[in-house]
Amino acid sequence: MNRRKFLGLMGAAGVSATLGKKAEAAGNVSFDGYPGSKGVLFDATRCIGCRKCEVGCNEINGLPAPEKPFDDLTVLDTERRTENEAYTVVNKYETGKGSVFRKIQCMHCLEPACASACFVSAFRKQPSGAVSYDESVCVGCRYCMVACPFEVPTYSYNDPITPKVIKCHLCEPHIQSGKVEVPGCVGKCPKEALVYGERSELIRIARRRIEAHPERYVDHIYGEREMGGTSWLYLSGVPFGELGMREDLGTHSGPELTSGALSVVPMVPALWPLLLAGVYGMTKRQHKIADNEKADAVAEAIATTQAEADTKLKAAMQRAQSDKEATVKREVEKARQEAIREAEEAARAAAEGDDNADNGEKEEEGA
Amino acid sequence: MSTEAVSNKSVFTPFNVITGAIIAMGLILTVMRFYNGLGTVTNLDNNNPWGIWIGFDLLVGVVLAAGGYTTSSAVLLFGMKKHRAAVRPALLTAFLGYFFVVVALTYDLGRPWRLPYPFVVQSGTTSMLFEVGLCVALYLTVLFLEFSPAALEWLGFKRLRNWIHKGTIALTVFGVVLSTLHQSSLGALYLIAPSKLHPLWYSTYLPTFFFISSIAAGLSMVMFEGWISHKAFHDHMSEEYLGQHDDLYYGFAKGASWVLLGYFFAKVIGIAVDDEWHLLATGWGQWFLIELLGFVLMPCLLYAIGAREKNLKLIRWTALLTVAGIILNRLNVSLIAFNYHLPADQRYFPSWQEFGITIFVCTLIVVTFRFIVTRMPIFHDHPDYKDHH
Amino acid sequence: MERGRRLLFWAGIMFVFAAVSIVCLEAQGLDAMAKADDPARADIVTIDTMADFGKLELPAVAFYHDMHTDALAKQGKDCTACHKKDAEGKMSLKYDRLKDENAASVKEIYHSGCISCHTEMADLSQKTGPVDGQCRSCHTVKPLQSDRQPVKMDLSLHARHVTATGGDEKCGTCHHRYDEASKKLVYEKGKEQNCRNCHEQMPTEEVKLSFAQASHASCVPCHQKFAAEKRDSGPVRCASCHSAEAQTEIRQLKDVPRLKRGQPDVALLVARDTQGRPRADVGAVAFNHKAHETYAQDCRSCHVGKGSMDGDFFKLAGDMHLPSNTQGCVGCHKTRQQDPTCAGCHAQMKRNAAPDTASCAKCHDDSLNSLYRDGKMPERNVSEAKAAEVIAGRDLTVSTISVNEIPETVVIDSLVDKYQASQFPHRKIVLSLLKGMKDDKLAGYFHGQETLMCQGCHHRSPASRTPPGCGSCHAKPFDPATPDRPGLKAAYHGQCMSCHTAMKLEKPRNTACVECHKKK
Repeated sequence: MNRRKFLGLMGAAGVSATLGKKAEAAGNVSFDGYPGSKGVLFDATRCIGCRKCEVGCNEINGLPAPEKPFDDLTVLDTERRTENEAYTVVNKYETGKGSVFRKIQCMHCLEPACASACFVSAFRKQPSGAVSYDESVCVGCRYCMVACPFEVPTYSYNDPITPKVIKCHLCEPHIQSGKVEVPGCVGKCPKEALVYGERSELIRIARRRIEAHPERYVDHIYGEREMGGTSWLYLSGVPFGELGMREDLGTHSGPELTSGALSVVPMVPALWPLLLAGVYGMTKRQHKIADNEKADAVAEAIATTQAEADTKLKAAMQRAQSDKEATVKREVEKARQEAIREAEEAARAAAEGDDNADNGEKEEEGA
Repeated sequence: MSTEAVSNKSVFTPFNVITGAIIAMGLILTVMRFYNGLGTVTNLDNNNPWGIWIGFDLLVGVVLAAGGYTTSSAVLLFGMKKHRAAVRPALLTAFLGYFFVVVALTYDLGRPWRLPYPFVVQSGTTSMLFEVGLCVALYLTVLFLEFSPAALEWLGFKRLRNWIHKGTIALTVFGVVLSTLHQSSLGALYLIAPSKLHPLWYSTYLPTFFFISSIAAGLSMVMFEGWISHKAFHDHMSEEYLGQHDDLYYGFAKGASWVLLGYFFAKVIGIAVDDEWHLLATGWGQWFLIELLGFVLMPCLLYAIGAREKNLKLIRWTALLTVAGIILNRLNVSLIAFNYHLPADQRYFPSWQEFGITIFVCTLIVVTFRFIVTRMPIFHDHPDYKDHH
Repeated sequence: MERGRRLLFWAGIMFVFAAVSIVCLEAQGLDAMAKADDPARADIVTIDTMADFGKLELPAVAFYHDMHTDALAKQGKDCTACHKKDAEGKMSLKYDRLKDENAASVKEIYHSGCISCHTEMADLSQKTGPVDGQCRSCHTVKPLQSDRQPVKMDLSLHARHVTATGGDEKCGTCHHRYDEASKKLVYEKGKEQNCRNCHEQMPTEEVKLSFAQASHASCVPCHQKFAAEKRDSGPVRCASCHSAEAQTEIRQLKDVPRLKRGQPDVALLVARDTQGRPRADVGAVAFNHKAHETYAQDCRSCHVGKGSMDGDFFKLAGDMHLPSNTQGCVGCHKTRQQDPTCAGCHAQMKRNAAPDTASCAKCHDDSLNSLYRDGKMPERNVSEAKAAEVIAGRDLTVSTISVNEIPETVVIDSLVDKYQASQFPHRKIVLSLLKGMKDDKLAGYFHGQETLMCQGCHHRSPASRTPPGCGSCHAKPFDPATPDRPGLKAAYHGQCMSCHTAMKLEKPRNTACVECHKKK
């Protein structure tokens, strides 16, 4: 069937796989994000847990109203995660510095794990800073959800026909259409706990805040380097681990985690066939040699047997010949003896003579 | 049905009744799945996007179908020519295994009808899943071709059969390449989630682990299937097949023992490289040791003993133990040690419907296998091609 | 052959089984230890004497002292059951010995002493500690959490000790000094020091006893002696001094007498150059030593470092001015800013901003420089008289502009599209802040007068009776061009909420919008 086409695709895939890797990690140059790309700085020391950001997100994206209204803050007593109907949620954490709040949404990684994991490239890091999702190609394998270290994407499991992955899009469509200038959540924040701007500028703002109030902040900007850097940046007054954020994610980006394994891929189709063909050739040769040897041996065996048989026959023939001769000889001798004896008897009979004519007759009959 | 029952009174055998019930249940669940969506039949949620349909049906399905490439390469490439008769059953199980992996996958995918999208619409070449998908698709084709002579002999298409038969070696090599790639890529799928998979199972060597263990799984699975088939389809087996049977076991047991030993050391090195010895003293460490000692080192020793003493019974039971161990390993990586950091109430446990579909798919494999081996020349040579090797 | 096969098979199984069970047991053991987390104790004595002789073979022993004294008391035994007395009848703090001979003997003393006693009790079926073979029960890696609090010998407690030990003339009961010449501990009137001036955390070459050893060697036998004589005595149980609970029960004197150590009432603090001459370019600071004695409770709160108490500390100006040094002037004053009364304004100010020169003059009085223009310090009585004069002349009353000049309410209507306008009770808030500062000399002296206090909220504009409103700077919502300047909404919320949070005001809650902004 379409084996040739598949082979072609396979080759193309191998090539593009290597190229894809190269573009991101070749020459030990790491990708530091698109210049001028936007992000958001979240300052946990400013957040008061009012859930206005959730309201803003809900309104701008036309999401259904939640079960409990947004001003019901008892919701904060249980830890929540992003849901299909809530691209962002705020959680409360009890820490050494009292209740501290953290907003959760897509971190918009500089080199997103979801994008590197998606086998139809439905996720793309846009130059604007947002990680976008294209529903029209999504197959629904949910590998992006496995890959996301921040456990952000959700899936509309209950939709049988058009299920899709759902996550914060940094209000990119709304900003591009001119509906708003800053993401919905940022615009609603009463305390500027959220600041929208160029990521590089946000890092400078965050540094200045830490310098101005070293006693208020942990000296770390979460997201500056985590998972290769994220467009969302976090400041906090307590260690980030106390805010349910993972501090063990490391600084490798998602694509880096699999690039090593991907780089080996072309080696396999390149080297395995050679190796296997070699092995096959060797075993085949061995089998052939073995076969030839066997054939030779058989031939030789046949020859030997033939020769033996011939000699045997010959011997038998000779023996038969000699037997025959001996028999003739013996018969001749016998006949001769007989003749001699007969002659003697005849002589003796002749000598005994004529006394008994019947005897003579008898003798003749006996011969 | 009733007329059939009259005409053939052996329809209500226990086998038929049970499979019939399972298939009926499976069909109902299928309708539920595709009519109401994934949410109604599965316990999958936003924290646990992959359940047993991936963890068992895909990962275990693929690794247990490794018998195809291990046997065909052992016999056709590595010179175990006298075990030629074992190739066809192994290829058949591999083909059915892969085929039903794809069938099971259609249940798990949100929009299964878009399965060809990665190849025809837009490719995500940096994705490990892309590599898995591509290789599985190609390998399924290769397996189909490798297996097709049996079907063609049965159908009587002589010329086509002979034409395909000529490509056997090329197909085998291609099959090994593809198997190497996707068996290891299945492990590489989890490379991207170091924060979710427990460090004892997470390793940059995951692809290597998956590949090595797939060889052991393939060899063991061939022996295990041989054992079962021997019981069920003895009368369909040729003298040649039966005659080579025991010898094949000793050879494969020896091979599997060495592979498992290599696998054991690879795993130990994996722990050493990441310096995770201290984790062995934790609860997860115990679980890891049970897998490593009980299901890797133990079968390794038992295979060695079995092969040395030509103890067929021991080898067969060890094959079962190895297969169980590989299943345990795949489930550990994909489900048990995955998301280990989540609190207990957020962990995943499959719903009965998920189990139902999985059992349904397994039953379909068995039924199809039965259908084919009772008709096609699998355990014996077709009389027309007696000397066509 | 058959036997060999069986053997291998079972050996394999046993190996796996053994490996798994060892790991399980070990892990469960650790769990069990972690679970034995009953209330933290104040009586944990860490026995690591062997560390003096080399690396420890096993973890140090956590010894529960009170548990043992209580158990022994029940049997009618006292301290002598474990502690020996030296020739002078003084009890050794070491267990069952006067000094550490060598590793082997010390080890033997502990092992035989502890284990034999435990074994005896076990033989009598009494509840007791670990016996022979249970090494890890004593030498445990994870001892209980210690809740031991250091004892604070504050001025009240000190005064009580002075009274109890015979009055002001008997300082030598506790205070001593090491005399180099005679190589003996001597007492010298007027040269008393804090124990820690010599006795540090760890013993040193010159000072043989650590602070813990020295204090226990002084306190405990004395308490015991007093108790034996049926006089008012201090405790001898660990928890009675070192638990947080017991410390709250220590009786406090109402009128704590001043320490009599010959210290001045006032002093002139003079900056000196490297040659030790007074610097004419830096104004001297008139310092009210007597008043600070009551704030600080303890000489060592300010007098740090080695040496005598003659005042020659803080060679570097940084120590006096470093905000992080709470033993210096600025650092200590800054800690007062964390008091909720003050924190409302102070928490929002930049921590490490350089102070303006006007605030320097609050302490450094240039007019005092005339006293030492010639590079020589004046007589002590002269400088003290001058300092006293300056201190007496300071205005410490807390006040601001007259009440009528303070606007009564301010209407904030920038969110008027969603809520009713807020009626901000401006005067009420100012008056309540003033009330909080009443009688506070620090507040009175540093920002008691005129409009300085207004700048707590009306920041970044010159002090004025009519400062500009918030909107004059924070007009726009948020401008990326000035990323450090919040927009108007965030500026209002930031100011009000940060202040309320810092002052620990429960109401209104930050998230209760309608308590400030009435619903429309």
